[in-house]
Amino acid sequence: MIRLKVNRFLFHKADAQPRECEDAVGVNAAAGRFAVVDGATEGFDSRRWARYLAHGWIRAGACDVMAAEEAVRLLGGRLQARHRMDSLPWYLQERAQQGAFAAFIGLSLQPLGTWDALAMGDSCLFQEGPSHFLAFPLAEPGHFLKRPFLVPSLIEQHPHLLQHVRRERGVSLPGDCFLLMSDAIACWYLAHGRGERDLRKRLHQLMSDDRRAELEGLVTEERAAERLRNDDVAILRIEVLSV
Amino acid sequence: MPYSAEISRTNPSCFIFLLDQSGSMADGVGSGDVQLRKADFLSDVVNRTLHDLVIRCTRTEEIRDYYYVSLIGYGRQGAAVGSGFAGRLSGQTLVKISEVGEYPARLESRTKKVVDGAGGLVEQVVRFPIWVDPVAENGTPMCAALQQAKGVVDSWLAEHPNCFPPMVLHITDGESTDGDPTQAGQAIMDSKSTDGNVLLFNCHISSQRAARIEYPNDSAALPNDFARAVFAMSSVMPVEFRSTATAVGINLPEGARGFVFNADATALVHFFDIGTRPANLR
Repeated sequence: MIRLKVNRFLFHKADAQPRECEDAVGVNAAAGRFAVVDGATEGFDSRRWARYLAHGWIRAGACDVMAAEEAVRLLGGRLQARHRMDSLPWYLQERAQQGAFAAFIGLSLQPLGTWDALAMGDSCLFQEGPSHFLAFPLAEPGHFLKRPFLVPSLIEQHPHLLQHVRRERGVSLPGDCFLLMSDAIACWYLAHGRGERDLRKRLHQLMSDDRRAELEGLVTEERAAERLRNDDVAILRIEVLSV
Repeated sequence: MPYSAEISRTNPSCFIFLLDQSGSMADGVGSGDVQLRKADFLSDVVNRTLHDLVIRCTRTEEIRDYYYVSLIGYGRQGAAVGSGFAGRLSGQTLVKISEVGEYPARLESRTKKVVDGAGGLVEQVVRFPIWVDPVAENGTPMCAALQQAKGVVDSWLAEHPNCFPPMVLHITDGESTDGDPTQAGQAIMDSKSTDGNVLLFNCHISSQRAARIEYPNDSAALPNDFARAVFAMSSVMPVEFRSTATAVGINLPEGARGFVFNADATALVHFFDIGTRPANLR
C-alpha cells in the first residue's frame, strides 16, 4: 500500500484580494487523486469552474479522456445552471455566453505505485527522484504560451478543444516527489527553482515542513526579482514515503 | 524599456477618444448598399470599442478599473468641445471603465452570428450598449479639442506618473477650422510618464474614393500639407502594438506612425483595434 505525504499551498496575486484567487487544488489522499486547476481570469465564474474541476477529479475513479469529457460536460452543465442570464448586467451576460475556462493537471496514484495523469493547458506535473525528473505536459520555460488550450465549461461551443487533453503514465518509487503546479510557478520552477541547487533545497524544505509564511515570502521575493510572473500560485507536493 | 509598464488596478492607464463631430461628418462612408453617415459609423465603432474595453476588463464577476476613458467631441452646437458621453455620463471628462460598463446611455438590441455547435452559425440577439450618439454639426475646432485632451493628459499624469502612457485616438474627416493643430498635437506627444511618451494616433476618414495611406513611416508620399501636418503630430507606434496590427493583416514598417489617411470603414475599425490593445494588461 502506498504511503504519501501531501502539502498544499495557494497564494493569490500580489495586489489582489484572496477571494480573487482563481487557482484551486484538490486532494483525496485516500484515493490517491490530486489536481491543480487554474481558472482563466478572462472567463466567467472561472474560480468556481476551477473548484468544480478539482473536486470532480478527486471524486472520480477513472483516468481516461472519454471519462474526462463526460465529467466536463456534467460539471459545465452544473455551472451553467447556477446562472440566470436575465438577471446579469450586459457585460456579464457576454462573458457568461462564452463560459469559463481553466488549465488542469490531475494525478491518480495507484496503490502499487503506478500513476496516470491528465493535463490540458499549462498547469504542470513534475516527478522527481534521486536520478530522474519528468515534466508533463510542458518541459521548458519557453513552452508556456500566452494562450494555451484550456478546459471549457461550455463544451458544446468548443467541441474540438478536448482534443488537446494529454495523458501520461509512469511508476513511482519510494522517495519520489510529485509537484503539481499552476503555470507561473511551474514556469519559474523549470527556469530557476529546479536548476539552482540552494534554491531548490530551500523550496523543498519549506514545502515539506509546511512553512507557509516563509514559502509565501520566497514567492514574493521571486516576484520582486521579476523571475516569477505575478500570478496566482498553486502547489501540491506529494512525497511517496513507501510503496 | 518604454511601454512596458503593467496595466493594473493599482497602475491603470487612460484612453482619450477625440471625435470630430463637425457638419461634414454627415457625409457618407462605405460603398454600394452599405452607405452610412460618417458620424453614424464612427459612433458605432466607438461604442463597439468601449464595449470591447469593458469586456476586456471584466474579470470573473466584475469590471476592474484597468482603464479610465475620456470621450471628447468637437464641432456640434453649443459648447464646441466637450464630453462626448451621452446619458448618465454626459458631461463627464474622465470615467472609470467600471462606470462606463455600468452606465451606458441605453442598451439596444443587435444580432450577431455565433457557432451553433453543429457546424453552423445561428443569429443571436445581443444587447449593444450605447455611450455616444452620432453628431454632425458646425466647424472643426481641432486645436481647441487637442488642447482639452492635453488638459486631461496633464491631470492624469500628475496622479499616475508611472502608468503605461495615456493613448489619445483622434478621428477627423477634415482640416482644422481654428488654426494649425500641429503645436497642440506635439504638446500631447511631448507629455510623458516614466514609462514613455503619451501616444497620439490620428485617423482621417474620407468619403472620397482616394488612395488610403496606413501607418506610414515617411511623409514623402503624403498628398498635401494637411496630411503632412497630421503625420507630424502622430506618434511612432511602439512595437507592443505590432502584434495586433499583424493580426488584422497590417505589417507596420520600422518607425510607422499611428496615422491613417483617407480611411474607409474597415481601416477605421482596424485603427481602433490596433490603438486600444496594448499587450501588457494584467
